[in-house]
Amino acid sequence: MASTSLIVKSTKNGVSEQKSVTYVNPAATNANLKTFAQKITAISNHTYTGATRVDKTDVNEAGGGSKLEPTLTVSDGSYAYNGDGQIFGYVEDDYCLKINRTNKTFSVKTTEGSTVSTYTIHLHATEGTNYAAKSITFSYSAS
Amino acid sequence: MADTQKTTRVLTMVADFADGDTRTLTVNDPDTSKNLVALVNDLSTFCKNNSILLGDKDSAAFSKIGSAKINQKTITTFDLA
Repeated sequence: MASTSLIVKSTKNGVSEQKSVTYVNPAATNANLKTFAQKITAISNHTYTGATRVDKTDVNEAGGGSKLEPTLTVSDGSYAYNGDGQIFGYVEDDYCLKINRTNKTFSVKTTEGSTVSTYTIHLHATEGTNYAAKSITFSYSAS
Repeated sequence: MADTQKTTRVLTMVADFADGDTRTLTVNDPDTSKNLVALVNDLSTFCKNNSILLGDKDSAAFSKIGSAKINQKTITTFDLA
């Protein structure tokens, strides 16, 4: 469950203070949170100086956390398509993009040489034809 | 060095939520020259009308500030000499 905390700041006699309210509605607007912070400060003898909002995510929540969203850009160049479903970069003799025509899947290799992921696409090509690749961008998410 | 005493006051408000859960809001050094009942009620109304606070367990809606009281505590530092 995502949640929001509010740190209310105030001063009194030149001494700054902070108070944390941890059960704040993440959907509350900043304007309303400022008003709330001012109202709660008004109950004390202190002078309101500001409020900071901290948005939090529960790391134990399934599906939470960050996602990996790499983008691969294949820059302009000529590639030979040999019919087995592999496209070779003209600089290296190893594949950068491997295509399985039957399953219509492709694998991408990073410069380090490890396979990054597989993704299903539809490609149309003629065996033995030099395929002049334009700039192709593949984006995918892996949790 | 003689014994010293320091007195602090804390206003404790109990926030009630729709699932029966409660959370505590505290304010240090409440200003007793002000109409605190009115200020607490105003805070309660604002929190309810604008959904400022949520229940910690299941995001239950805030109902009201059900009670508020001022506690005074005295800290005595004893001279051990």
